[in-house]
Amino acid sequence: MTSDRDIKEQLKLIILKSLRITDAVPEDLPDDRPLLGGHQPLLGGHVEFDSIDILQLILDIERHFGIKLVKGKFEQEAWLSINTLAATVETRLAEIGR
Amino acid sequence: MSGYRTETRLTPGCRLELKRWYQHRFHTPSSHQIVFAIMPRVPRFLHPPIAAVTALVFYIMLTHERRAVMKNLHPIKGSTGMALKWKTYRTFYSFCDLIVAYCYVPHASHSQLIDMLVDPERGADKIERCLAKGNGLIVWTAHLGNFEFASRLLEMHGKTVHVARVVESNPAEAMLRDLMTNERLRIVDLSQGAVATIELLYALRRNEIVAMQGDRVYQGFSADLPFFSGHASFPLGPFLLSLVSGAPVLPGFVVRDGWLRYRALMGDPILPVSTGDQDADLKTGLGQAVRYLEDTLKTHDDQWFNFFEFWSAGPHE
Repeated sequence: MTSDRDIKEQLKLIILKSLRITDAVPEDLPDDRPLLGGHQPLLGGHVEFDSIDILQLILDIERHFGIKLVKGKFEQEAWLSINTLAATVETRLAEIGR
Repeated sequence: MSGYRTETRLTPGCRLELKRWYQHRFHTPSSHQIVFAIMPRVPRFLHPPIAAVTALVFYIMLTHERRAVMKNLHPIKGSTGMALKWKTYRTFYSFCDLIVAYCYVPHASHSQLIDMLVDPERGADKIERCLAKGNGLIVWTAHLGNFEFASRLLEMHGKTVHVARVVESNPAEAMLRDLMTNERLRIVDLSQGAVATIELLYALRRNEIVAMQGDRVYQGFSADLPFFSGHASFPLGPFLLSLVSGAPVLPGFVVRDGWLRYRALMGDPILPVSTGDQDADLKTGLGQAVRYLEDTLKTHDDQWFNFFEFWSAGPHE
């Protein structure tokens, strides 16, 4: 079973790769900064998402974990931060027995 | 391929600064309210002559737009001289139809909408077959014919229709958006950025319908493709959305066939493919849709409502 910590680390690596960020490391990504909305973008303003970035990121997360991250009703809370995104990934992994 | 992955980083949750295309100076709430107040009270047989005169007035007054339409129409069929002027005038006339249709289309019942079709065949089987796979459906349309009518036709499949468009900060745009919205038809404002995109993805995962106009680039994520005698930029976003969701892209248009009478045209579904070269896969899908647009424009060029010079408009930088 993948631990919450592992999931967060993997998510950070995916974010950096997916958004083609070369001047940062996973440790630069705080767990509790807002991913969408709010006033503090991830990486304190270095990384920001647009509509295409988010699609690519979802595609990469779903392929990496073998899950359907996006399903059911849109809950913006799931996208608040690395912490909440990791929790959603963990739930999806549990749903498929992993 | 150009414009892949814009370097512009946008603040999450904020309205995006997207490319503003074209708005003529009569695109105001009061202009539309005049049309909505008068035309429903005028006998229907008088509509075409009124539209003919109105189209002529605008054809004469809007010189920039007239020249732009002429430049857009010339490469499609090579028309010149009086033939080109006539086509251009017809474009203005068709646009009058589109505006007057706002008096009827938003509130029409489904049977009234069907009655406005010259042929009841509306590609319903294709749509149902796509939805049967459970991955939702992306309908790829353009600023061609009556795209508002098209979105209402999509409602008939018992699914919520999410019309993805950039709602520009113009009261007239907001007015038309509010007019078209109902419990089955939602307008998703793409200027909301990532949140709007996630909403669309959730909708597709619920096996709902997303409709997008694919002939204008609002952000840099686009590809240059052969288009008639030149190359033009088209957005790749719908095809990335298709790849992520698994939803097929169905190119389709509703074209005018008489005054307030329409015909639905539907291409073949474009399924997402993943060969390992994502950029090429997206471009291949987009190419199929653009070819269908080209084929449709060959017969309905006077219903293509791009009142700016289309070929010289590059992707947003």
